[in-house]
Amino acid sequence: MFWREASVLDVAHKQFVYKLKAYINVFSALVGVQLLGLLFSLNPIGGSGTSSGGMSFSAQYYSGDIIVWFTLFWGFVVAVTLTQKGYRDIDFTFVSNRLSHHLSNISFLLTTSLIGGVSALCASVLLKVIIYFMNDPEVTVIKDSYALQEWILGVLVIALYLFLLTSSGYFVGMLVQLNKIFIVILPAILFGFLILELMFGGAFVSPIVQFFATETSFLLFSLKVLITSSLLFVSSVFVGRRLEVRS
Amino acid sequence: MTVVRCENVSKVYGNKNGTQALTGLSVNIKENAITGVIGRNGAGKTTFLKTVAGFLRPTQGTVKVFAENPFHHIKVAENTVFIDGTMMFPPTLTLKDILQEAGRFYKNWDVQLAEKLFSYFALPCDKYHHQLSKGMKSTFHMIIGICARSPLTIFDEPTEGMDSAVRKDFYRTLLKDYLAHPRTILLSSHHLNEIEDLLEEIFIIHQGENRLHLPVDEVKNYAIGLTGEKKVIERICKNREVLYKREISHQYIYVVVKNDLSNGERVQVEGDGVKISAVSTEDVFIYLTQQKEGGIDDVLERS
Amino acid sequence: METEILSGHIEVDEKMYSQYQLADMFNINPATAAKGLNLLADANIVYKKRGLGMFVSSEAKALIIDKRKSQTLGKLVKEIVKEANYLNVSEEELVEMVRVEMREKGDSR
Repeated sequence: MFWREASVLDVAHKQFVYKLKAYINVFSALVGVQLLGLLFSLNPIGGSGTSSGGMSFSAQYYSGDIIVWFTLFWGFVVAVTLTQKGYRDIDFTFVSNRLSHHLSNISFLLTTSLIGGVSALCASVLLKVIIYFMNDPEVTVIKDSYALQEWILGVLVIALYLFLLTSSGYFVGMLVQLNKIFIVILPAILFGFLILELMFGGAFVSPIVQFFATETSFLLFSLKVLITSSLLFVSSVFVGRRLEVRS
Repeated sequence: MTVVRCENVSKVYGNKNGTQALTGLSVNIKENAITGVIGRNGAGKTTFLKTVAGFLRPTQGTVKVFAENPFHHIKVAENTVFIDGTMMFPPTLTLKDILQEAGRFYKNWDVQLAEKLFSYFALPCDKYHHQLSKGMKSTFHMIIGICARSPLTIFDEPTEGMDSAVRKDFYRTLLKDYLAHPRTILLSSHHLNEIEDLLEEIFIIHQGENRLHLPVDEVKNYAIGLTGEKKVIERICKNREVLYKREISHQYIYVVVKNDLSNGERVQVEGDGVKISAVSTEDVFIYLTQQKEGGIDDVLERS
Repeated sequence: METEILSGHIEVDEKMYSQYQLADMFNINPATAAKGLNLLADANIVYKKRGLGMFVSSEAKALIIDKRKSQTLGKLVKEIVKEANYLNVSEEELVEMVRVEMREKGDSR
């Protein structure tokens, strides 16, 4: 029987399609998470009231931010899950090598980020519709733009944040696979930074958040995210280079 | 032609003080032959096979599979199928789905054979992998292993949990498909007598080392059993390696020695009233992998 | 295999089964089957025709009968004699036993 020359990209592509079919429950989880976010969003985030001359106003604010936060959390969890032994072994049941395994995972995470972005935005629209009907339509003000361009921008921004989160999740997951001690170390580092953050008034975490959040140019923002994510993925591949499978 | 070449391969799990699974193992596996990988529990069979498949990284030594280092090599991966009892499948796919997916990964995949075997062994199409019994799982894995028609096909204890009828069918299927599509097959098992007819070569691993690697017929003639009076036997065994010894009575004794008697010696030995008997490959395997001298009888006698 | 030739299922100069057919028939590895064929060739029971495979030789039947007589039957007789000695069965007794057995077999035919 002849040995064949193989291509990593070819195998990675097959694995990617396999994952889309096999990990369909990732997306049903997304629906669950966003519905939950939607439920929480039905509580107004703030309100104010004034009264003058026998008339009283009260205003309540609603926001779909919770849905996005939940979606980001979901992305992180999905990425960590993909690095777990069971999921790795599923890949290596059929044809796979390290690189094709990572490449197909990254493509899968990119896809989940896009889908997450689209559905998060759809969920916030749904939220607005619900709130509109829950309250008196006459007095409900929807602060929104209906321009298609802004919609696409909104989806992309959420998707990029998601991609950033999944790449961090993937890196964290790989570190844990390398050594279980990271399960203790990583949260310790995180809390350490948060405490320092509180003590020194925003010296550590804030710059990182601001690096992304305050960027006003979409192009620069996406560049920042893509470069950071790529670095994280490359590090993940590097961390996992000696990892054995099906052992 | 050699497909698998191992030179002085050692494997230690975990850190330096971890379990040593392979200790300086060297072996060459012939192309397009069925080789039986035989060993006691914990002898290092699985470690050897997984190293060959590129799943594990040897601690020392070199492994070459078709002239490449197999550890995560895409060419080796594309040309290898590795079947064992711990194969993982997504819980969301039915057996039929999985078969279809498997077909996309292996270029030589035989769709029709897969379907025929699937229905012959009465596997349920719309069930999920985790719902199967141990024997059914093994049957399912075996179908993948055969239909993949990989140039390097590895079966690690493929018959676990199968009943004897299915086991027989499996061996027959494997042989027939091999006759039609010769390929390099590594087959590990505890039951040497069950698979020996199927094999071209036997590779015995003992304590992580290559204990014996010979064509089957040479293993069949590897040793002979001698039964006779103690004094006579002891004289014959003087300059020979005794593989096994059992006292039948005070005077009579049964020993197994390496079969290096010339025809003249044979006649002479028989003339001394010693009965010469053949030793099955299974027994050769057992004697070669005995932990200490003597067998279970010695343990029982002491207590 | 030999039995197949003896019983006349494969005639003289007829093509012998290939190692792959044999492997399939007896459920054995083809390499083992090839070795078996080589043994037959060494004993001149079959002969090779280049590129065509193995053929049954003209003296195959006689050779097999000869071989079985000297090897299989000879061995069995040796065993019988050995056993007879253990049991103190005399030569006449043993020969008589063989005669009776042969006669019975003849009758039943």
